[in-house]
Amino acid sequence: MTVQDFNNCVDNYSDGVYRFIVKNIGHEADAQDIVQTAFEKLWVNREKVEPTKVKSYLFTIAYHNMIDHIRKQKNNTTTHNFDDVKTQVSLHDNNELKQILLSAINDLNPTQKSLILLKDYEGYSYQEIGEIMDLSESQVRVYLHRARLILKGKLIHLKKMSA
Amino acid sequence: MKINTQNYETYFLLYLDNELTASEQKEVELFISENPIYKNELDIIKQTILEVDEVLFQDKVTLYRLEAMEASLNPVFKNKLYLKDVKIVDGYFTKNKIRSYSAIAALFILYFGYNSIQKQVVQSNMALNKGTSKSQLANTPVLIINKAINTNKQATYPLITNAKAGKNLAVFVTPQRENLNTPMNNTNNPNSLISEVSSADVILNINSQDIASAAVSQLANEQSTAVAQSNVVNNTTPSLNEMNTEDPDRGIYIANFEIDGDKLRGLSRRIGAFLKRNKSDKDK
Repeated sequence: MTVQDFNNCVDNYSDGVYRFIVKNIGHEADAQDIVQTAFEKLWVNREKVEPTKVKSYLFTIAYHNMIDHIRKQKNNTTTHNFDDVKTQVSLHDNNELKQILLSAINDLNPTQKSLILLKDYEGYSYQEIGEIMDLSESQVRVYLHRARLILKGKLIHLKKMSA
Repeated sequence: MKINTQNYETYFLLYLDNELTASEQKEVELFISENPIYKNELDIIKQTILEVDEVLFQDKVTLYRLEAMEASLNPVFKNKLYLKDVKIVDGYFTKNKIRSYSAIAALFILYFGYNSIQKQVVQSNMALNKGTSKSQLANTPVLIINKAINTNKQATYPLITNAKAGKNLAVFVTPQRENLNTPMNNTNNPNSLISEVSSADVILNINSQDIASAAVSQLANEQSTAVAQSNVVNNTTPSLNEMNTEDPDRGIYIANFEIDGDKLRGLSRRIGAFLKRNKSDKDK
């Protein structure tokens, strides 16, 4: 990978990786740090990474960094929790249905949330998501379906409440 | 395995995640058309899919490898990007110039300040001469000659200064309005001069008979000189300019500035003497 290739990767993938992380943890500065770390690792391993796998490599690194970050956050009670995430993410959307959905997503666990985000935002296949999240394809399917059904149940419940 | 009322939810999820083959997708679509009551179920699951939200990473510059980019640039192209050296022009007021200008200004200030102080000292001395105390005057023998001159000025003009036997004898002419009509033809006689010396105005100013008599006796011993001086006084009283014993104006004018020529002359004399001495030493 040349310098130009690397900088092209920055142009093409940094927004997606950042969106994936910031929607998960809801903290912009931490998300930026995670993205930066991912690209630094890509630069270090630029000769080993296949050009076609660069995107999933970046998401993989970012995802694992994010999991580490979340674990640290759980140990540290003074830092923000997912209630903050809920607030911050909901600020981006004014649509009522979207807000309900985002609120429901914030109640999911990090793995389910990452599955939803990778599938809906990035359009990854189950296999690719499995590679990124270090899961089998069947695990991705089961976890993802379970997450969708949770969201579906919340949507029906909220619609009944509003009706 | 085909889609049915037991597994339709899984098929719907796979259908929406685009994980079914083309034939499987057609089966799902056929199932919905055959069972429209499940269409609402598919729509609700469809609502769980997030719409793409545009989020931008603002600090891409921090991710770029600029150093590597620079290193990979063509050296010729890179040289064109560098700023060319430009000759640095010093400001007009450099440190040395400021120092020299301030030194010149300080010299001018000192010179004019010294001159003004000198003038003040002269003026204060003149004022003191008018109103000096008795004890101060006792140390200096002063002979004041009242002369009736046709002028309204009341200033005291120093006329003659003699230094003899370590004592200074100052002779002043004090014009008096009251004596304007007094004849002036008796100045040739030393006695009349002495009588004039002891006149009321002089005694009022000096108030010391001894000093006046001492001065007068000294003057009487040198009658010829006194006569000559009184002649001079007699001849010059109408026009005091002729008795001006001050040196001619030796001021040197450079533009608007005046430099005291006497001081320069003294300096030039000293330098000349020094050079002559050196020359004579060399000749020896």
